[in-house]
Amino acid sequence: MKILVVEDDHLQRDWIRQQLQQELNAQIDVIKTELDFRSRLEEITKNPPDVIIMDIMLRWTDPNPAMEPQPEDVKMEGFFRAGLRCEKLLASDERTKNIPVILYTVLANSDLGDKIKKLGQNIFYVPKDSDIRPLARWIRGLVRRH
Amino acid sequence: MAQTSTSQRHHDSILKALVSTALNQSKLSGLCEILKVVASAVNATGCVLWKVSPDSKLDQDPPIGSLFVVAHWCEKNQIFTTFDVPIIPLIGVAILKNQTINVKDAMSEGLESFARSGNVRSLCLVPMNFADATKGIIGMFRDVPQPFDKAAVLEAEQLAQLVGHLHQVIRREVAFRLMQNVDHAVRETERRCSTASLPKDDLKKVPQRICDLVTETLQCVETSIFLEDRFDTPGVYELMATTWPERLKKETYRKGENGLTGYVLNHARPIQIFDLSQDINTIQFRHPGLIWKDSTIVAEAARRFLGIGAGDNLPPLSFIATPILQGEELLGVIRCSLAKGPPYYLGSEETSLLELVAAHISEYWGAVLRRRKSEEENLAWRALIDSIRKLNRFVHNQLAKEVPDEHEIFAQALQVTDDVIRGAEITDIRLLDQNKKELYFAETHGVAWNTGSKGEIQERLRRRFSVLENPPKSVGADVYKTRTTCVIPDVHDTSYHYSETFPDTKRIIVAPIGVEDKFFGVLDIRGTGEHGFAPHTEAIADVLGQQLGLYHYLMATISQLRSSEAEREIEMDHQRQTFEDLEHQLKSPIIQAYARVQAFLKDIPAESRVLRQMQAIRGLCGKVRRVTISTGIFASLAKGKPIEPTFRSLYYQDLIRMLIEAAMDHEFIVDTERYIKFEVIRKTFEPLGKLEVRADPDLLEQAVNNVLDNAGKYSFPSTSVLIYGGFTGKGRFHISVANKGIKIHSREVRQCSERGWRGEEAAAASGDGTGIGLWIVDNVMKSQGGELIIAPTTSDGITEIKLILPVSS
Repeated sequence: MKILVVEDDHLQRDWIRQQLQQELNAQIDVIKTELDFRSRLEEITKNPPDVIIMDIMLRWTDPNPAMEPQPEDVKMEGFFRAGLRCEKLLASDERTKNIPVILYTVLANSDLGDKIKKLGQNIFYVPKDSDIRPLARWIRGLVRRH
Repeated sequence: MAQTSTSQRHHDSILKALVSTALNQSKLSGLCEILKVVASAVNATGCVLWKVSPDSKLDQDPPIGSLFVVAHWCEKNQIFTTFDVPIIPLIGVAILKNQTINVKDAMSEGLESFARSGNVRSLCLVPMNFADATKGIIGMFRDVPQPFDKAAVLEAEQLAQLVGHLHQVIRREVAFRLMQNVDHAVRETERRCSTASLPKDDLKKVPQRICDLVTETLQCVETSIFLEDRFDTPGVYELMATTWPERLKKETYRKGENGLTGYVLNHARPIQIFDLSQDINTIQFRHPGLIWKDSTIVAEAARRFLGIGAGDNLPPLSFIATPILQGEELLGVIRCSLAKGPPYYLGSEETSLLELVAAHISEYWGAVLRRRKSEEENLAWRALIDSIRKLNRFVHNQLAKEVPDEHEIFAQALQVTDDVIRGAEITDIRLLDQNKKELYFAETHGVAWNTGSKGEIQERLRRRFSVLENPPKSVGADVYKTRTTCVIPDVHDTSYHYSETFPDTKRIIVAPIGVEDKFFGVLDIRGTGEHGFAPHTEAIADVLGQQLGLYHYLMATISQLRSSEAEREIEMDHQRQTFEDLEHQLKSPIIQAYARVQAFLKDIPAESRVLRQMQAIRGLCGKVRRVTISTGIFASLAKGKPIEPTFRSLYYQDLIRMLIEAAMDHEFIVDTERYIKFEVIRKTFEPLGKLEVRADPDLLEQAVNNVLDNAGKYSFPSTSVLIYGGFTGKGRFHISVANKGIKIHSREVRQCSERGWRGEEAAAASGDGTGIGLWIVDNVMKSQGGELIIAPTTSDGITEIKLILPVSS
């Protein structure tokens, strides 16, 4: 089983990776920022994971001396819904549009409002929790279904 | 045969002379030239053309009436002192039987007066017909007792039949020329002022020219034109031009007045009086409703102007007048009086001519009025626009007040109504009550409102008008129903009862006050004077009503907004309290957790794996504690409540301990893959020695950690964050944090400590926070008497943030 975790907080990222490895014995790849996600999109289309765990609030990039400037849409909307922008990129490509995506976030379902209702059938919302088992159960179910 | 041919040629040449003479005449007196040709043809020394007066009765025995001179010619240019001759039986028979009478001795046939005045000895009276079928007689005479022979009589009879037609030709020519000249005078003025209005004196030039032309053509003493200037003096028909040689006794007329001109104004139909000196009953019989009795003045004037002595006969004191109409609208009157040359009276033909002239004057004056109307409208609209601009400014100032006063706005609006609508004397605004059942007086304007006793005024203002009746009993209710402006030009023509409020009201305009489909009330405008409302008043009232509707709607909306704002303030207060409560609930357990972890760490061996985990937990707890405290500070500052520090003396050791723990915490919570180090440079704090820094340790720790948080977040990989201290100026100590990462440009320094601000690159590299960190630090430092100084990034990429605190010994 191949899982891609998109998470910018290193503490949470490391913890999710460790816990999922223990629970699912899966091969886990991580992406840290929205820019990384966009850069690796081609790679994802060629070698798609079974499930993507997507944080919603993501920074654009890590600070570095040669920072890539934000595109206009990112500048306008900021980091608050970056995960949904990443999901849109997946949905716009035939090869990735059916990959199951779990929006794994501290935001409440109601905070996302209409945005989440407009997403595709393969997009699921799971609230972040200190217990990883609910997320693991979702992943198992999705992998079985697909 | 040869004689006949000669006679025929003679006759033909006379005919040619008659026709060419007739065609060359431009005045009515040109008929005299025709008579000259006729007289010459029969070797007469003079010739007179008489017309039977309109009131003659030829079929009576003896016949009654007289013959009036239409034209005459005398070889010796005698001036006839008689203008009429009585219809003696001899003449009556001649006319009735259409027989020529050859009077051998005029002095013995009852024509003495005429014969004497013209030195007439032998006379040939030939009956003839005018083109309008009126009977007439041509009298050809000689000043010697030489009767006319048969040939001359025959010639006279033949020529007499032509005179009527030639008379008509001359009249037509004269009428045509008159019309041409009048038309020219009008067109010339039209060309000169196609758009602008002429000054009043210039306006009178065209009527004066017309008067001159008519007087000259009709050979009368007077032609006068009276016109109504409905913009300056409505209802008054003012003398615009006259040829009367003296100042007229009466220069203005109004409808309802007596007299000849008054009659035309009242009945809007022409009047034609053959002789004003005849019996008044006869005149009144022909013109029912005419009240006029004073012919003496006219007779005296006729003698003066015609140079006729007291004992001599006067010509008929003729008077004709015709209304100047535009459709059914009466614009004025043109009148003529006293013929001073042949024909010595003004009859139906002259009246017809005058009617044609009146049509031209109507065209001219109509154009003048249209221009005036257009100017008047332009002025009114411009005044309205100016007034609305001022009114808008006034309303704007009112709306800026804490409690805007709608009455002030209404009062101002009614003042504007008074200013822009001429004749608006009593105005008011009636608004619909909350139940939408009645209109009540919201604002009034005009002197009439304050007349009467106090009780009467109050009673008047308390009146209400139901809008629910069907059919509506008041105009307000009608406007409520139709939502359109209602104009009542004359209150006597309506079924509404106005007399109850203001008995003097003559006309009313009521416009709805509303916006789109919303109806708030009506604007009621009344006039009592003679002046009617101008036609554009309705549109202006309509605009004012809409403007008032807009103001009323604005006032209501603003009042509603202000009340929602107050409600929102209450809601915000509630949210702030909730923040405080949540902060309180969060802060206590997290401080406890932090303290216990801290205590636990002391007992764990340095090389233990548990130690690292616990240090990370402490870092996380510290972060949560800072966020919690930030939430509390944010709530306080948002509420406008100042931060209240609890001061303590902090020494070198206290500061170093706090800074090292903070540095360690941050190192543990920063992404390990970015290799950021936090280093406290102890020796820079040593100069502090035994001096103390006065600060609130919790707030200072909050400030330091916020700055370190930023440094950790925005530093480039594999760099160090340096924490150092030192004195800056007298009695001030700084704790500085320097890092190498995302730049703060000098232009951004000021904005950095503003709430919610983030540099573009910082925003790109941040996955949390709302940009309030440095804003809180700034406030925290200021509350402790300190300062936050942000230095722009240096050329080698170092950004430095200084927290400055006062020091005491």
